Amino acid sequence: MKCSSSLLFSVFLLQITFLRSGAQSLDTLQLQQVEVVASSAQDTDNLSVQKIDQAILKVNRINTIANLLQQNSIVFIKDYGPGSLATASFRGTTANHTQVLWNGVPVNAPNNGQVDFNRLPVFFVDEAQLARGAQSASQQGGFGGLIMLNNQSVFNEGFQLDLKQGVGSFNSLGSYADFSWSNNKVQLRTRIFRSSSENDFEYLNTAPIPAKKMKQQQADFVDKGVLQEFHWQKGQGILSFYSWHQWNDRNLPPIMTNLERGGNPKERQDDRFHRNILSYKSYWPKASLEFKAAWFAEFQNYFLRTTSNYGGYETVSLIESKNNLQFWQQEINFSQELGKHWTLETSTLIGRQTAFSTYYDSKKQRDQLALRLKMSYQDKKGSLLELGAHQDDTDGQLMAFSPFAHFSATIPGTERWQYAVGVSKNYHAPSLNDLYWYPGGNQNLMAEKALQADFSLRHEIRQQRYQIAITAGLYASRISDWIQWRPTAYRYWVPGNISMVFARGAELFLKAGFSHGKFRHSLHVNYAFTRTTDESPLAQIDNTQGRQLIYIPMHHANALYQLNFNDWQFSYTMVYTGERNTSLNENEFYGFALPAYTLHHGSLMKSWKHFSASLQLNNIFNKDYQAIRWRAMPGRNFAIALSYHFNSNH
Amino acid sequence: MKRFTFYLLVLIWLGTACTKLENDPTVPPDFLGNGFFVLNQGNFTSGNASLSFFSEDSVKMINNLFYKRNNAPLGDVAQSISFWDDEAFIVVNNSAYIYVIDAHTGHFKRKLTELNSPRFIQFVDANKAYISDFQLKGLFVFNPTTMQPLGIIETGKTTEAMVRVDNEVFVTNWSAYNNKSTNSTVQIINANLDQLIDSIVVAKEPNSIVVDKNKKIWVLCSGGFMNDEIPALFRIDPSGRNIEKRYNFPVLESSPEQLHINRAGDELYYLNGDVFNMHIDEDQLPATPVVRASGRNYSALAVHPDDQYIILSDAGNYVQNGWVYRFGRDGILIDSTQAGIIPGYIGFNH
Repeated sequence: MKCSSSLLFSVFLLQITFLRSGAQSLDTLQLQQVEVVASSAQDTDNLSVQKIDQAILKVNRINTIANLLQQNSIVFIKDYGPGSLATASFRGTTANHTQVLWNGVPVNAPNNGQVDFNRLPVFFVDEAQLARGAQSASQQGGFGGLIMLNNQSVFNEGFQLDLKQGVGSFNSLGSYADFSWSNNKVQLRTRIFRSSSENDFEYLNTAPIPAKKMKQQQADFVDKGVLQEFHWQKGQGILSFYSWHQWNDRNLPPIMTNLERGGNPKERQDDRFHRNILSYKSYWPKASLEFKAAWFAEFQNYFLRTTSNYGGYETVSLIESKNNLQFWQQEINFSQELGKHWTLETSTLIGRQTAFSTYYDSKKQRDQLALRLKMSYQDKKGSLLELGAHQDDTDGQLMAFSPFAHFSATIPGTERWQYAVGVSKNYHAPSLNDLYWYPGGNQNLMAEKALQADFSLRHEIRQQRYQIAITAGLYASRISDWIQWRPTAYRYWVPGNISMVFARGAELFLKAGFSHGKFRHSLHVNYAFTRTTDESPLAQIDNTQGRQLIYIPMHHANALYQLNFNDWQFSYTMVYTGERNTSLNENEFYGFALPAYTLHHGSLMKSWKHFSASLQLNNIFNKDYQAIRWRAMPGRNFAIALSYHFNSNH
Repeated sequence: MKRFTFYLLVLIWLGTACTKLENDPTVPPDFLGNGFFVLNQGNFTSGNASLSFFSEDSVKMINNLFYKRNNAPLGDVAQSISFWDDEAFIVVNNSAYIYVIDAHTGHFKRKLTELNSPRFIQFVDANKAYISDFQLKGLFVFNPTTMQPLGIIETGKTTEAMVRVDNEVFVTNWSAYNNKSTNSTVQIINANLDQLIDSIVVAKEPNSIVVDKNKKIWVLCSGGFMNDEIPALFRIDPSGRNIEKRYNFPVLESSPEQLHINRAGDELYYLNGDVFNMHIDEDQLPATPVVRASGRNYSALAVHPDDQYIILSDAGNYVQNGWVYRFGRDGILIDSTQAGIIPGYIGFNH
């Protein structure tokens, strides 16, 4: 164990030495211009990374990231209802296999490995990207892919103010403010928001006898947050500080079968998180060097209290559980062009996760050391070869060596046909809950391992009045030692390295735009076909081999049509979610599969100089549906938003 | 432009072509005949509990009977089924209600809601029954004919399995959940006064209780879910309220449960991985099982009222349908059939 840590530490020192020598040879060069702004909205996606268009981000500015991804990507959002938990998964994997990076630092909670996307406001994000396949293998655990949420620094924009006020059905309110000031050296930006809803929507509850119309109970929430940014550009470097704080309080609604409980149960969860990143990036003509330090703290408090309807028993049941999670990480990233075509990128990071929990017998800690290397070759025709690997060390133990290779090029003899192939090997460490939860945690768990391959093809049609880009892809991944929690005879659940999952599928992305006169039309379509099955010997014994895993739809699609005319914008979204298994059984039982459903949403926006107003209509056809079995979902509902924008430079 | 229109049409097709309807379950014959119900717990907070019925006449299992009959789910975590006259009382633990169905058809008749965490029912007479509770430190009293709540008997401890001997109800205190008191006692309730009158200390987690032909009470204790104590079987004299015999299990790590007795009241059966059978006059626990687990994960046990066979349910991996096995009293397998998720309780309708 010590040997493996020493090995990684030696590599780390070597890198520092190399960086120093590299930096010394470059520091006399003068940069004409520092390019730090990420690609603009007009950039096309590459074959393995989908960037959500700025126009889409703008329309969804006061939505959650869960809504954004559900309606505009192939990511499948497992949504427990408005204001409740929403997790993301893609390519036939689970929420634990989706790594989420905020400005390059993972924000997955160390205790359960997940992110609640209903708590993340689009308002705090300037850029959202999804990396799939080999492109996601640079991070441990991203078997399905990476979701990258970034903030961008912008200079010389003077004073900017953006205010938004939303009001909607079920007493939903949202207030958002964005202040920014920048000159050619410094940018200061503060964003704050408060979002709340009673969520007391009416729905038909078919669980009780007789079925009855009910109002959703105990689903209200209040989320508040502030994001502070500071960027200082000096010479050839830029210093950035990001500080994101959020306070999320919500009641947890019971499932539809449990609404006739006595004892007036009160169940709620209050979460707080504080995320801070400090980075310094220095640029040379052919190299860059970045130091980054991150410190995150997260507090999760769960509360349940039941009473009795009969005298003498004020409190029948009381649970107050607390999780206190801390995470810090320091990393050095270096990029160096080698000759005309080659680029070397290295990254070394050291980090520590600490967790206190009511459900752990003591404080738990995990130390991580990681080294990442990538060599890329790009020729004049745009062909790109990327070869890389990461080697991690967790608590002194070397984890699986994780290499990846990705190649993309234009098909010879064509201009508008591109293809990409990728292969990768990756691992995913068990979460702290998997290891230490009492009772049930299993400290003998091994890391999950994935072997992945993908192929994609892209075709573009560009005419004077319209453009179409279609990307189609195939992928396959084999995940061994898949961790599964199963109930035991002792009435608690225990995780084990049980399954060998084979996930494969096809993806289709279509992006089109055309204009005539003052009308500009655009269309975005995302479709995912996913087959994901357990092929382990145990599944053979259980007779579940070949059956689709639970809550992973075989078909999932969404389409967004936007029409712009002068200062008007109209959007129409369709989201199709295919049938989902809720169990591995195969018989006529109603409870084993949730039916497919299609939701339709529309919005209309009008702008006047500094002001804009929008009307959003969700679930237009008042579809009665369940995303998760017996979790109530709202019917038709609306939201109105008013915005004011001021820029001193314009 | 034509290509664009084509892609648009493909999109519209994708949006509409894949919709599927819910499965239309087949409805079984109205009169079920003689047989036994299998109550499938389902998974906690999944709302997928279900009711199966095995017809002894047709030798077939009807799964998902409750939904087929009543067009509604059974609820979240079905716990136990008890019978009074021609009615079956189903306790649904996490939905915190009791559904009463016709024991010969499966049709819903009435319900009792607003409970806390109900576990089992013990009938006193046609107008009074007790419900044990996993959270409430007492017994809930109700009228099974009208489903009217009658109050609570305070016990100071949560309550589990029950038997009645004459006018006294013996209740085990199995769970330590949210409970500072010891979970190693059997409490005695006077069923006339609806009052706690005494208690007897046994071993940790008394999970099941039966009464034999001599009106002796047998209590099986698992020793704690973290194997805190040696598991033990106790014989109690209800008149003297004292322990007459204690049978210690040889292995601390074992977890015996599901104590049952035949209708004649002289043969005990229990699960301890395998299935064991002992006569009430034996001085030692049996060393050899009557049915071996053979890799199965037995979760419930029942003995045919006429001693014809033993029924065992297998919870399998707890996330997919379990199985029900019928064994002869000699331990030879008669047949097996699939039930629902975690078949956890078996009850005969005759």
